[in-house]
Amino acid sequence: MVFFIPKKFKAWYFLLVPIILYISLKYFLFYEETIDLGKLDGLNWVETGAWGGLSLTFIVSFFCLIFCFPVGMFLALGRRSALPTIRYISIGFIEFWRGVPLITVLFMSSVMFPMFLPEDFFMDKLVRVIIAISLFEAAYVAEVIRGGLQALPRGQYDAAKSLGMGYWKMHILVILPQALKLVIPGIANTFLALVKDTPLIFVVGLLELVGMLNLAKTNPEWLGFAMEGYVFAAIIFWIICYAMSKYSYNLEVKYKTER
Amino acid sequence: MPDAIIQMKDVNKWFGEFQVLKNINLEVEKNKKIVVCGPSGSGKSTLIRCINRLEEHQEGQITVDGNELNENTKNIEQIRAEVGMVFQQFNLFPHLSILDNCTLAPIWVKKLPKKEAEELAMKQLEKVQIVDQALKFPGQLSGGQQQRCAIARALCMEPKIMLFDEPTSALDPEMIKEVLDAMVNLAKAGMTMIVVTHEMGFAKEVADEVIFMDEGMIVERAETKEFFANPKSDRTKLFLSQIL
Repeated sequence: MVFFIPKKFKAWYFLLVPIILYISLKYFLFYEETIDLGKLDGLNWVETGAWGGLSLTFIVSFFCLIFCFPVGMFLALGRRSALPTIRYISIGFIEFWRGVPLITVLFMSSVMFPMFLPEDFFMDKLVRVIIAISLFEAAYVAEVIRGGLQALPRGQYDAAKSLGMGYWKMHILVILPQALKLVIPGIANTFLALVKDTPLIFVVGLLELVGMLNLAKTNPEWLGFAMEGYVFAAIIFWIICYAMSKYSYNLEVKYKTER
Repeated sequence: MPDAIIQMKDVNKWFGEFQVLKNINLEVEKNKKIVVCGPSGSGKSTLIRCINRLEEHQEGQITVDGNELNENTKNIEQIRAEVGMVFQQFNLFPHLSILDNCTLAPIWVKKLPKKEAEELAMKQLEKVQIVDQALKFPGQLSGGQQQRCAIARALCMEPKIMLFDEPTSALDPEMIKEVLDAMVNLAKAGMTMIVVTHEMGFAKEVADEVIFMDEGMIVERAETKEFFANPKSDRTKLFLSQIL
């Protein structure tokens, strides 16, 4: 079943897949002999520019999700900080990234950004794109988390302080666990939007699922099948997003302690 | 007074334009139980919140256990760890079980080993008689049980002073007694306590002194018997005639 989600599903199970594949391909399945391609090594270096399709969708979404969350969390704390410098930097950062369209951010990251760098400095295009999307989404995540922080009654801060906790202990042990639990729906919302934004990376020449589809439909042999392709891509996106929303709902249930 | 554990000298505090505390002078000796009463908005809560610096005073001196509280106080967390506080709204941490509520601060602030902290917590929970609820979450408990848990949580830090900010005001009448009982036991064990409350019965039973506040000032301070028998100021008389 596609919608089957194990009861004790852990996000890091995803990490096992490439590791198991790598090991089994390299040592057990004797890839090169099986497909008999002569001298071709089993696992070749592939330029990131040549990566594409669904795997790229997953890679970009996965790393952006991982990076944008902690950045957003620190921005949210920074925006509520009592220290003016940190607060203004956070506000500036959030308002800047929320104020520009993602497509221009991507364009800047791949076209303009390298111009500002020294010549011998090289940063992979995919890495640049992932950083750009992460920072962009971090601004949104920050505001969602800030909403959760503001929803907590002041008494929680008072109680934590009165027990002798400093800023970090108070936030890590008392405030953030509650605030993050409150904003699970909002975070899931942002993350779903992020996954659905990944097709935009076509502007820098990276082709993920939809990009590949656009490329494929120009193939004369497949003329007239664009509709089928798009419907198929839509179904795949729906499955990904549905799984994510289901997972977020599971988290909500899991961490529900009130009453 | 050399053995005063809390000293407040000419303390003034404003919320914006509004002056909440006016020239507060207060000394509390070790092991004394003080009850603070007065009409709402008279600055009682602000007064005791200043003692562990949940509110900052603008003028004057506050000294707690030999440490002066001001902007330069580096060890404010250490002072707060020695001053337990119980709030009107309980303020338990809803994401943690009762036991974890009690062990959180001992483990992370006092660096006690987990096992020791749990033993300590169970001991304190036993004192307030909610041991059997230890693994439940705050949301599953009644108000009185939550407040007793809050008392146990504060006691787990083994504080030198306990502050109570209207601990029974948010409770059903039936539950007030169980909380007061826990507080009476604590008082009898010799804890230094400052209690903001409207429970005059409690004041008569355990307090050494009663302080009456109005409009940010300490109007009257007297021995408990004296306070109820012949109050000096008219304002106090009026207040007492209305609540007794």
